[in-house]
Amino acid sequence: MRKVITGNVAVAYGAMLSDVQVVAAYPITPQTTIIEELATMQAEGLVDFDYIRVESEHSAMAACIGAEMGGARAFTATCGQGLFLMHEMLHYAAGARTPVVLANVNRAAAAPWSIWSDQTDSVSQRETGWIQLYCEGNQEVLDTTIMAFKIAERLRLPAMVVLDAFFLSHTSEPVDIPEKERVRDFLPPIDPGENWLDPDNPRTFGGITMNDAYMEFRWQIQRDMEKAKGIITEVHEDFAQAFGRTYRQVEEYRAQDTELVLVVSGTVASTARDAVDYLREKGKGVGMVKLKTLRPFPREEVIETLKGKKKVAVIDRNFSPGATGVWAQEVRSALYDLPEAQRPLIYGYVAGIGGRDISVKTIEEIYTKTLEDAEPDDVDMWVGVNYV
Amino acid sequence: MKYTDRRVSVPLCARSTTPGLVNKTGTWKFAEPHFVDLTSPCNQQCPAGEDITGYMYLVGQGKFEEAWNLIMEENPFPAIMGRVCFHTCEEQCNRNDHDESIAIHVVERFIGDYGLSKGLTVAPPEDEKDKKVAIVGAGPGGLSAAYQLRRMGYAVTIFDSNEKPGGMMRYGIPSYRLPKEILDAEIDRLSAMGVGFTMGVTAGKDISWDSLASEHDALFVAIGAWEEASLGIGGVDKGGVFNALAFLREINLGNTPEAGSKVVVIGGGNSAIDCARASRRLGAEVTIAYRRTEVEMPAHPEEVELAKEEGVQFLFLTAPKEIIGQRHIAGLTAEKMTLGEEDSSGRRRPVPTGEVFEIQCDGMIMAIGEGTKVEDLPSLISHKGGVVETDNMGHTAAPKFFAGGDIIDIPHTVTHAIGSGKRAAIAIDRFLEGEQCDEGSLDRFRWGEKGNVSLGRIKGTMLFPRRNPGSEVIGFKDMNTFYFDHRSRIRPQRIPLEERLQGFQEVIASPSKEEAVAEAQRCFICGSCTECGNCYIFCPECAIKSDPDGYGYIADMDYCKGCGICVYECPRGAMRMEVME
Amino acid sequence: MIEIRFHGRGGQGAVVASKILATSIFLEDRYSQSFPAFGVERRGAPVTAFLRVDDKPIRIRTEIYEPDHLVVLDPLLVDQVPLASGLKNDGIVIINSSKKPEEFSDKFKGFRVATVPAGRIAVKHHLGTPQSPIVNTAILGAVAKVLGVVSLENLIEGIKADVPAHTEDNAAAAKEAYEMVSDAVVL
Repeated sequence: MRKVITGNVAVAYGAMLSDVQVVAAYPITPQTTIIEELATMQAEGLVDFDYIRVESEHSAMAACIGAEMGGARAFTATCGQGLFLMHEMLHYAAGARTPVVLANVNRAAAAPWSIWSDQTDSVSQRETGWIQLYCEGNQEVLDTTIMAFKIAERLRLPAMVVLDAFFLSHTSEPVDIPEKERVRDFLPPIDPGENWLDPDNPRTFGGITMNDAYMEFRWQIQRDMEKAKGIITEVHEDFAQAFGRTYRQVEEYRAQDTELVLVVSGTVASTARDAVDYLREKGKGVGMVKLKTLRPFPREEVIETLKGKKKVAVIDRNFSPGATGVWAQEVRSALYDLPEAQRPLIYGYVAGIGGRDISVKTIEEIYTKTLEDAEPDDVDMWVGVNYV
Repeated sequence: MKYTDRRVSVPLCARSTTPGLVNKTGTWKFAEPHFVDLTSPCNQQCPAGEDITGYMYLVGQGKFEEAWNLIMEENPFPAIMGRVCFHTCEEQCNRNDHDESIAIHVVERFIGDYGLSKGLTVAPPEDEKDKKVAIVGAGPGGLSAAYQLRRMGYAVTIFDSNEKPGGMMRYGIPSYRLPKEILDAEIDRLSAMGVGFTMGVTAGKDISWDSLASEHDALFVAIGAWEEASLGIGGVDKGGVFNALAFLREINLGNTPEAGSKVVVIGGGNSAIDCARASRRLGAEVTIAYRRTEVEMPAHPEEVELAKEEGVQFLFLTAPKEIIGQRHIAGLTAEKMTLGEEDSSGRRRPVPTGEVFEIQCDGMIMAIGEGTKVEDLPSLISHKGGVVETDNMGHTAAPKFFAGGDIIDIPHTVTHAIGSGKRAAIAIDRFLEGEQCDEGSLDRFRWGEKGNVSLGRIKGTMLFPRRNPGSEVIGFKDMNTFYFDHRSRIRPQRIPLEERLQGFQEVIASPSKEEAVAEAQRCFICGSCTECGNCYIFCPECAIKSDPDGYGYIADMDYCKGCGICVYECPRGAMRMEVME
Repeated sequence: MIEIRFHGRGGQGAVVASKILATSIFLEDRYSQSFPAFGVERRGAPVTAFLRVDDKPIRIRTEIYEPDHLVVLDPLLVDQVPLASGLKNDGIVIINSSKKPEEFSDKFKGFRVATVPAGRIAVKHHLGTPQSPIVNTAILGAVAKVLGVVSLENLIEGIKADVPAHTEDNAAAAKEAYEMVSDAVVL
């Protein structure tokens, strides 16, 4: 079935088709319609889950962790401030190895208040042990939500589906909605293994762990994040086989034959495809690389894709005050391992903060600056700021 | 080697290898918690031995009939009590240290009125005993004893010289404090239980003590204090000079004593206030003359406040010297007093100053106390200074004679009389059953060390069950009052002044159900487990469990590690740590 | 690609209009993308919504700055908002108004303008209240006719898919507007 739906409705379809068993969420713009849509689907009998009303996002995540410990497939959604409030529980979900799936609608941080899009909320959760999957269109949102459950449950690590506020959450476009039976074939019921609360066999979970064992538990998260790179690829391949749509952690678009490459994520990737086509038509040599996963960071694939390029322009719709845009940090860190001859110059651009549009023109401006500057004039260049 | 090729020996998620129950943390402790159920100060204070915290709990839960039954265990007159008891329990209330005491009497009045409005009754005894008891005196002491003995199955007959039962409750207390229909309704319940009333008969005169004794297996004597004290001054025989009891009797019979239009009441007790307020209702200007100051007045402060509201004037440090007038009082001379040393009652003694002045009046009521007349009692009943000698259960020196009320050594209040009647009923029952009931044998059924005996506890029919209520009384500092909010007590409505002075309509309005419940819910329920669950919630070892015997909670000593958090968090002080031997 | 900008007020249904049109166009096997101007919408406040139509998947995800056409749900906005801003030279403006297109010549000089009494049509079909009619489905009938981006049949199918309440009345309003809308007149 194909339907014209918003990104938020696509998330709800993803969760509904994945037969979520527990939903606990707290409303916040622009996430709210995800949960509204899920509630409608539940009322229409399309899915049967327990909805837990909570007083905060912190509690929403705590409830999801509890539900997973009880052996259920749990889902929540939030954005911006809500994700910040959830932060403590995000660490816990990973440490407890509960494969919760969370849809985060990228919303800029207050103060000042903003409901519009940037990735600062999700990139701020890099160190929590969550898999992060960024999307550029509503189809990808729906598909990624389904895949997120499979990835998370195979690894027993929580996964975050990330979509831009409004540019996806409130934009309607045609989406192919798979049959539930086919999704069930793709995504088996959750298997909690031994990691669940069994009233007949009471155990203490996550209790205080001394310094002779804590590090081992944490090391396993690191190991499994490394494993995740392979498993995400496997799930992408399984999905392509089942549904005919292909996703990659690192995707090239007309980038193989160019010396200058844009590295982007989220909806900017979508607009950048048009920008690349437009520039190519004008005879400019430019390609694009879209990064889908921030965690685990696909270091090897990034190195393989970008080695030998002359210039790499990373566009970050986020920033880390005192450092640079987060994707630029990650790409720099990965490419440093290359021998100098193969190591491109990294141009870091921060753009589109707080929902400011990143148009084809903005991308052209970035391309032109990267092309013309022999080397970056700063570690981090903010695009579109109205200086006086 | 790569990450993915390495292994560690811990599982994926930190998880205990055994159930937590394997770790018997109970072995760590050197002190253990006990659920104790201490006595609340109000329960100890109640002269009738009522379970106040018990019925506060029940009213708070909306269980009004149970609350009524709980009072009726100890006291047959909750509706009267809620009106006329001077509620010294409220002075002892731990909540005084928090904000304001519970308005216990208001809740009690609600329960009493509830019982009347629902027509609640006490069933006649199921098993009639073949023993007969005579009660001499139909005042609160006699009625209380009669009620309890009747419930136990005895044939009970009350003898009284008045036309109607009630004693001071009928002939001493004006109906603006205790409406006669309330009094009648509560006494009627006794008749319905089979208590016999022989009215208009004076023992020792119309019927001999010997014949009473020969016809009954036991006798309870509670003839009250009806002797009028008179001022030792000149002119008390003039017209317009009344004794308080005579004056109040007239009032309560519905008559209008000719006490004048400008009345002076001599005295500072509750009778003086009653006389003054009654006179106001007859249209007189009223002044109370009292030897000491307001601070030393024995009258209940609320009564004094009401008298002031109603326009009663006060002349303190004033002692009458002589009544002026020909055949009828035309005024009196009085002497200004000052306060000297403390006397045996702890109050400062009035000392004459020599300054004499005149008070104009055409009526005077002497309310300076009442005495007993015990000389005509059977000679074996010993007495001293007008007080019949008894032990604390009411045994007199004469076999099968028991005594209570105002003739024994207790304060002259309705509630004390009721309490003495209950104690004597217990003693009479023991006596008739041939059991010992000497001093102290019932102490474990007292509320605290000083309180009255509880029949509910003796019979084990507590509607608010306690495990092992000890003699220890709990103080404010022994509780964790963090859990109680601050809320002022109920201030019952009073009818408007104009309406009050029109007649003898009841002044204080009854509380609504909502008000009574809210007031009862203010009660800390000091010392008793209400199953609030704090111990259960706070126990870090989940060692607190529901008591299979139904007394709230118990601690599972296999897992209780003796940390004492439960005891600390108990709001009511109903738990205690004890160091183990 | 065709880009259309909708102007209305909170409560008139401009955002839903762009969504219905996206669904209707998709029924013709073309690609569409609709979205509101991302703001804090309030009833009565000026509202903008966007629609893109193309024969291939639409990848651009930015607001529309140079629309091909305008749809104006509230004629009073003509005097309050610079509606023609960025409008392409041969752009068509469809206005909810009982007036003749020529009466808007001072605001839309050089553009093509068509008018349709969508408010009156909505009231007639009991859509919203007489004081505050919901004009979105009526004006879409005019859009179908004048811009030709979708057939009337598919528009009605789109209304059925996206408007669960008073579906028939909405469809009838669209149909009536389709027939009543004026020709686009070059001003």
